[in-house]
Amino acid sequence: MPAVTDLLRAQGMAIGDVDCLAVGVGPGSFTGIRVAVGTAQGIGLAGRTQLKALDSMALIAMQAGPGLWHLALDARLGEAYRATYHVDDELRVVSAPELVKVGDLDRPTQGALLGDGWALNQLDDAAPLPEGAACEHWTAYADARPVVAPEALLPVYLRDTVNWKKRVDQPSPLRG
Amino acid sequence: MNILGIETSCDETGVAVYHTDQGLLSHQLYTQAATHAEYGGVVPELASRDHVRKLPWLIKDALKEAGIEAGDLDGVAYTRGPGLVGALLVGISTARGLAAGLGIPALGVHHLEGHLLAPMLADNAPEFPFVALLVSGGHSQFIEVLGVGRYRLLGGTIDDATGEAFDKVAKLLDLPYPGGPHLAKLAQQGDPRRFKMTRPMVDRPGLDLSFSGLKTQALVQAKKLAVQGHVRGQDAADLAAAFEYTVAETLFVKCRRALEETGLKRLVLAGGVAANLRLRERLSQLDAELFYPPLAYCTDNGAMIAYAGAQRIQAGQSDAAYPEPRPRWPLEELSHV
Ligand SMILES: Nc1ncnc2c1ncn2[C@@H]1O[C@H](COP(=O)(O)OP(=O)(O)O)[C@@H](O)[C@H]1O
Repeated sequence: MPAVTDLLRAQGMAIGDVDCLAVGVGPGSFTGIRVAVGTAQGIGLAGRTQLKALDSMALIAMQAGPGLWHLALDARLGEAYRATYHVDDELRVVSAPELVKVGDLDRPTQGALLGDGWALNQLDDAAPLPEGAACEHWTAYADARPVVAPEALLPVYLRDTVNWKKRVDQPSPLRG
Repeated sequence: MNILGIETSCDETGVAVYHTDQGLLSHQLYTQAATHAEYGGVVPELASRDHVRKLPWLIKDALKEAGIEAGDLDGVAYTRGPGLVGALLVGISTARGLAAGLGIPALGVHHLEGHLLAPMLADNAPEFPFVALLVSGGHSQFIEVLGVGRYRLLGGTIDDATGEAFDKVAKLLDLPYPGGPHLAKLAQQGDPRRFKMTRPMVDRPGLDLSFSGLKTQALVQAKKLAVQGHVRGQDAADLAAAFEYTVAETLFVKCRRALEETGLKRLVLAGGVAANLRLRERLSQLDAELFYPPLAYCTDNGAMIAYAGAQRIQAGQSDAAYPEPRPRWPLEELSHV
């Protein structure tokens, strides 16, 4: 948020001057996504800014530049987020993000590996995650996305289970 | 001034609009109890997910109920801590986004200040100064309240919070989560004198509290009563009653001492356990005027955050920089108003 306000201030703008805000909604770090989504919901609720949801993994592929990118991100707990994109003048989603076991991360026949997930299955030649926020062609991608209401802008988690024991599985202190 | 209050510190999503002259204009609450019930306690990741899913709806509903538009707001107050860091971050983000979008001040409020000032939302509101007993799921403290932001900690629990002890004993008795209110209901059918429990810490000087020993007493008794791992029927009701009775007696003794030590004559009971009727009844026998928040504002809610935030925003306070959440935040660090 300070990054956004600083960027706008440098252009002599305030958040209320932004007509449309496109937000990466995941998959990725749950907390990070929620901060982005929550902030955007708040901005949208102010009523002056339209919101759009973007696939965070597609943004990474576009940041990496033209090519056929097989992206795998460490999702912890022995799993990874996996997706494939073809990037040139526009973005083509070859396979949308899904959650896979790291053991199932196999080298595809063509294209390049990208992201920190591949090394979890001993595939060590993946390109590192691109740095910085520069991202070519993303405006065309964002333009094609529908406008969503603040309450409809929601994180994409892919993982719906939590590592937490249900009450029926918890040992009772009154037994044994 | 119209101030929006946002509470997301734990497992309640609360939003309210407070007007500095007209009082509370709206109050919306989403209780996540059902989300966490099957786990028997709050699962932080699920709490954060529910907050981000529900909060924008509640903000819209709170504005509508107040009969205003977002553009009519003059400030946004939100809970900055203490609480679950991931849950706090949702409220902080949305509140800060909204305030920035509207170009109005935002202010991070201390959750316990919200609880302490919640009795001000009642028709019969206390005047300063008063002694507050704050008893909730996460906190149990005696606080001398001289004014907004002028708090002196007199004592507090050295282990479990009062509500936490209620919830744990309720869990022993197979009651649904969160157990406090269920235990209180069961206790109505019980005989508080069948099982004798020692009141923790009453023979020690000072205003510290302890509930883990009491919880252990309940566990020992429950083990004796258990049939195939469950305490049922009258046994469960009597144990619930004994526990609730002992908590009320302990807090009675400590409250009397707090009033004596401070020389004050007004006692405010705040926090989720303030909803407990037996406790209210017992404390009403003290030689002091007893105040508590309206029942709806005892447990976590947005109204108390809107109220506390309004006092400070009206006095010209607002966040200087972009604030980090404060999962732990000593009450004494707050500035005076
Ligand atoms: N009638 C009651 N009797 C005893 N405890 C109660 C009652 N109602 C609510 N509680 C307890 O209050 C706590 C919740 O209060 P709240 O102020 O929301 O806590 P926190 O913000 O610390 O989580 C829970 O532990 C709950 O069991």
